[in-house]
Amino acid sequence: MNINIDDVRAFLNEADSFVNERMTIETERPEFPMDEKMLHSLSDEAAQLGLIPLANSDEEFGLWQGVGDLASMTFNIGLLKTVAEASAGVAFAWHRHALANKLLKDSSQTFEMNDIYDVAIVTTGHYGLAQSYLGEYLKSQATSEGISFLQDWLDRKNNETVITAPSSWRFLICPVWIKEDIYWRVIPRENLQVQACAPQHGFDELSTFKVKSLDTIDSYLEFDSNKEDACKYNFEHLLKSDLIGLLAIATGALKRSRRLALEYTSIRKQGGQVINKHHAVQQMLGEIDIAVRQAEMSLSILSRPIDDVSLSEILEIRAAMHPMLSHAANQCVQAQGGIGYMRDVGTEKILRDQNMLRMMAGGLCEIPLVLAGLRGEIV
Amino acid sequence: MSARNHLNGHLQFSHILSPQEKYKTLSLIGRILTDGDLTDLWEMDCSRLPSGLAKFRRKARAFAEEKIAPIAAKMDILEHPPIGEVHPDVQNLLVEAGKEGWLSYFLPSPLGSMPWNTVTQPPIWLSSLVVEEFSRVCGGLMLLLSAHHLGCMPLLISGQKGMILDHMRSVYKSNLNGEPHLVAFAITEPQAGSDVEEGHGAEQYRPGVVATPTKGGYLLNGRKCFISGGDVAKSMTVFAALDGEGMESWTCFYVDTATEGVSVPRIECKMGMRASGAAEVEFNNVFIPTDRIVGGLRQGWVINRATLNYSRIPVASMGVGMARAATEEAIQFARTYRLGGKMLIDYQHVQLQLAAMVAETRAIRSLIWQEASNARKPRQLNASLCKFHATDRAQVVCEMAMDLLADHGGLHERRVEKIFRDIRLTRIFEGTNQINQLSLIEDWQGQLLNNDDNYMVGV
Repeated sequence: MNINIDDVRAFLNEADSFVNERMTIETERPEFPMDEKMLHSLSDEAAQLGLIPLANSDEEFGLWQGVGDLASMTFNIGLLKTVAEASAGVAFAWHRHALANKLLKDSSQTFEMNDIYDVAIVTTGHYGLAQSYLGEYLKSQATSEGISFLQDWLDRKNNETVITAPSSWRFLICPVWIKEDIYWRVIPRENLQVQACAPQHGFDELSTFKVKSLDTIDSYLEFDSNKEDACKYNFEHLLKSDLIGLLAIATGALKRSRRLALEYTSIRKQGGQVINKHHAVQQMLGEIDIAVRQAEMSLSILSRPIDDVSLSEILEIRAAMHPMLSHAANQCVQAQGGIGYMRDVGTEKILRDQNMLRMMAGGLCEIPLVLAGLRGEIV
Repeated sequence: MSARNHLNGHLQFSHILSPQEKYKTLSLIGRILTDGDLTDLWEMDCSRLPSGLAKFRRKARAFAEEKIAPIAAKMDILEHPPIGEVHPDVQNLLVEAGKEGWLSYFLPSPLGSMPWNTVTQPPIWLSSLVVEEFSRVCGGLMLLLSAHHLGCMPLLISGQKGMILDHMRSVYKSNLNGEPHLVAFAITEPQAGSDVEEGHGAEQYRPGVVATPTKGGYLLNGRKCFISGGDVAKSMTVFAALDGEGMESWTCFYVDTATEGVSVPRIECKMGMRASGAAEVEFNNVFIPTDRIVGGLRQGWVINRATLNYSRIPVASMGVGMARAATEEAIQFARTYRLGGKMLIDYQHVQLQLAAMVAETRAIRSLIWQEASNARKPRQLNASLCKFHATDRAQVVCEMAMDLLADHGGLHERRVEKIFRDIRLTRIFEGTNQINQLSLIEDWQGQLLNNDDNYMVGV
């Protein structure tokens, strides 16, 4: 995708209009989450506008279709933030759809997809981030122990993989371990043992499934790439995009939550004055402001061609920012007191969505271990 | 799970360099000084309790596991039943809880169900033990069973013979007979959350629920909100200002919810603790006879504050129960989930996380037991301190559990996500944690304002 940096503002304005005119009305009753029919309808409209890729299209425009320049990354991050201000769940669905679409498009195979949400994607193994072994592998320093670990981490047949997506998905794209490398595989739903789960913690617009592959076919997506270590590159490239996207969504969602908290605290009176005059509330609002600013700064740092951003850098930012964003989302609830806890206000939903974003894509616990692996051998 | 004798990175107890079983080989004095208890931590804590409390704690755990836990997940997911209706499973639970004495334990027999071998201990300690056990299995059902005690507390604190021997005994008797009678505590108003929980705010607040004198009693008018269990309560302790006066006139009325003019127009749709309704309650010319004034006219504010001092340590215990549940779920996950050919618990970083979680959980339990065991006359400072600190730290523990479960942490079946939603309320109700922090300072003023040059504020 070639996009001029000057055009990004126009595209994001278009996204902003779409969100305000079409999405806001569908998300203004957070206690009644958007149903999948509406999610599909809005997503189709967004695809027609070029905000997200169509299911079957060679268009080189839309979310995550370009990552090689500042303008594209600014668009990707900006769009996800804007959409997440209305609904983190919708932003997440678009984000993962766009990543899957790009992966399929870049491969040399053709898949007939009828619907935007025909494909669900996971970007990591069945649990966590494969500790230092992932880092060592990406640094081409994998040991035999590490290879054995990664094989299990990406074993879709013997381990349950958790996916959260619109329920209509017909194919799952996931990284698998084949020939001592990480490849991407497209698994038809009928080749999976699928268990639909009870409503998950957040992303009320989506559903969660536990899946296991019924086969161990060594088929995978092939890419026309002359790059050395193409497998490592492809995996790292997608994981980096995914993690940046999750941070962008979390930032957009928090901005909405901040707005709700600011509105409420500017009209609610306690102790004879509006509560934003109380230091206890000012302290919370200040912490929220700081988190938003930090997140925006982090995203600015990450708004570069994806090849110029290291996985370490992204992981370090993710490990620092997501707890901060969760804390700020908590303070948004806290500043609203009892009202903030109620589903019809929306602040609690954003807190749950923040938790989801923190737990996805391997979570946070193993990030320090991955960083150890990425640092390489210490002599 | 196959029997193993050690975790990765640790020696088995029989190893020559493992000390755990070697203390027994020391001299008598050495054994006395070193050979400590290696039993289960919950059992260890039971053994440290006075025997009556330990027995009560075991009984509470058994009830929680047998009666509450089996319906917890279902009641969390189901839509709240229409106002005034109770799901049959919850109704059965209320009947069972009543018969077993879980709705009447602030008084000993023949008035209530407090075991006589615990009467020498502060009832707050007893309550804290029960609340921890119930919270561990379900925050919502715990709240349904526990908010009732909050509602009853003004009757007890009033010290009035009629309130205790007539009304409270009647409530307790009904519950013990298997006819559930829940009492709700109604202080919060649409325009007053924190203002009904701290004096500085109350000083500025114009009361929303007002009692107007009439022949033989008072007429109540106004609305209360966020009343836990208010949708199913048969009676309520309702706080109202006298007509034309401010919060200093607050008076507590014991209101039968079947009285004409009492209605529940709305139940909130909550993030968690969903098995318990948070109701808006409207009073429209509700006649309350004079003999239903609890503790006397204009005594409501002090009764309210005293009640909160009684309830905040048990609320802190909710944090312990939920932190414990999150830790237990994380342990269970780590003990059963395999990654890279090993159980998660065999990885050092997982062990570090679990160690931090159990330390946090036990630290807040220790705090609560320390304060509860001395809370015969609970002090505001100590109660508030327990409440905000324990619930804040409990959420941290839950977040650690979520982080540990990573991609699996959002699954309802893993329970941690529900525990988070439940914990979140404990930081808001009974005064937000910020209000509780200020409440601590308010109560500390006697020392903080001491101008004696030789006085150093004790901490």
